Amino acid sequence: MILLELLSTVFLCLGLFFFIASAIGLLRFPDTLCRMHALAKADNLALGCIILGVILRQTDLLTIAKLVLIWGITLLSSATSGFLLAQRIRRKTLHEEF
Amino acid sequence: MSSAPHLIPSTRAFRTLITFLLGLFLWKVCTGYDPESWILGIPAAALFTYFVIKGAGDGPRIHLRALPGFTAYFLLQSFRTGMDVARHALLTGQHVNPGFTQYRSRLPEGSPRAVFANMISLLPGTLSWSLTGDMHKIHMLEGNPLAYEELAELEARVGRLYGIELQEAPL
Repeated sequence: MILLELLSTVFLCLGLFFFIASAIGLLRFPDTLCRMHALAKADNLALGCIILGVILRQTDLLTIAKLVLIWGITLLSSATSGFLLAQRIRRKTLHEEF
Repeated sequence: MSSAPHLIPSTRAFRTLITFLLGLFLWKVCTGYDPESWILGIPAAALFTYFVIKGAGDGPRIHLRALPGFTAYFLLQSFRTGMDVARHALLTGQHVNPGFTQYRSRLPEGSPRAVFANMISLLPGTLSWSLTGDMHKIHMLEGNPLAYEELAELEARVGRLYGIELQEAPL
């Protein structure tokens, strides 16, 4: 049990690290598209690590399935909304250029 | 490249059953142990099945056998990608050198190409910017000489997920 808790803490800390890195990327990257790299990638991994850390402290299978489902839905919506945002930026850029 | 044949009735029935069971499972996960929730759960799973089967049409479908391998690849790439972004955010910051590249997809139109467009954002340093026909325009955080090979590898894996073997070399 101590090993599981230790592993869980490692994953929770990793998740925290990736969330902080993502937030720093959001502040430091030079333009919107670069900032989207930080949001679309590091955030997903951070959430995955946090969810894995929480799962290691769970015994209820249904709760574990719910946590995995939350991550899966977040990944799907993040990839799709990232693509839609990129298209929106593209249209706005084209509109400004011509 | 191969396309999916028209489904024989037994395959369609099996697919409908699996989708219905998946709908029931998702309902159970969302609502917990309350048995009364099945009053709404069974019709909801039936509606879920109807929309999934109707929406998917007769195009290529995800092969469940290929899903574990693809998931493992996805998790590994997610970790690499997260590390790459963290490195850029913490070390490079404002001095990144972004740019664009293009990639012509060999996947058939529809779901495989859309999945590939979404998954491009999973690779380190690449973000799907637009999809016109079979041409993907990709935003890159920084020049990566291996980006083209990695895109071709990802495309081949998305193809295998749909049971499509890509023969020709990428353009």
